[in-house]
Amino acid sequence: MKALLWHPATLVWLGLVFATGLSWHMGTGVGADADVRLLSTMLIAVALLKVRFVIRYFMEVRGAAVVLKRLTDAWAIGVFVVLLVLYWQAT
Amino acid sequence: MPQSDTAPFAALSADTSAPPPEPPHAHDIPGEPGVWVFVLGDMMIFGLFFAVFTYYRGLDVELFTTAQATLNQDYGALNTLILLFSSWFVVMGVIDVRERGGRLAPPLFALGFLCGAAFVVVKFFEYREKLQAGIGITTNDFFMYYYIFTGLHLIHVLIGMGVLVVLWHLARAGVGRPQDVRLIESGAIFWHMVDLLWIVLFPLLYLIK
Repeated sequence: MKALLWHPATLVWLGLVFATGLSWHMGTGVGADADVRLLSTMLIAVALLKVRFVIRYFMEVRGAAVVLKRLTDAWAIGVFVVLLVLYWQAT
Repeated sequence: MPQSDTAPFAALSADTSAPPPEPPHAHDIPGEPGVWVFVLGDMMIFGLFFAVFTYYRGLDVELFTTAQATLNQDYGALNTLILLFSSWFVVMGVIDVRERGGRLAPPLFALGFLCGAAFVVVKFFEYREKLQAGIGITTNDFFMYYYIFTGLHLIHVLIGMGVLVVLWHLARAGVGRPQDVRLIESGAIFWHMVDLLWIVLFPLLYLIK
């Protein structure tokens, strides 16, 4: 059990929990004078970064064939870019 | 950039002169190829959902922001943490099956299942709160997307819980054949996709302003 706890996936998991707490704080604990557009951009970026870690370490794509790495990276980057463009185009 | 992924953990190795361990799927893919066709297809569909939501949000930012303010962010964050816990249990279960004989895998998959059940319970209270306040799928565009996307995701959670029951049975029976390991990996990949989709849905629906 101890060896399982020290697995790299556990460290990634701790990072994901921390990032979730950070997003929660950023999304709910900001003052009225905060730049909400910048904040929302950061929230989207953190989410897609978390997604990449889940894909790489939990779904074990980190050590998989290059084509799978490229496909999953393309999805994460594609979603990130599309969401940002649509968000910033909003009136 | 696979090398950069391993770099943060290099310091954990007791013997830094030893070569890094070979990743489990260095020359192929984890799980069955078919599960990746399904998972990537599902991710594409949800990617489209995320884009549709953000586009229509942009057409009426005020309505979406006002409606979003009535959501309980704590429920969303709690469910994100619950799914992260479940993912960790499932990851550990898969590693245990593959590398350590699988003795701990059944309880780990069971804990993953219980986390899924906890997600459903939190969602039930969240929906009930909204419905009791008279907020339904026809209230406005924001809540239409909210109920459709979270509802579809909830269906994935329920299917995933069924998958975890299968993994639990397989692990209990003892995993000896390589195809059994691949089957367990495939189920785990589906469960992690459920987690992954919520990781994007949470900030999109509950947090962005």
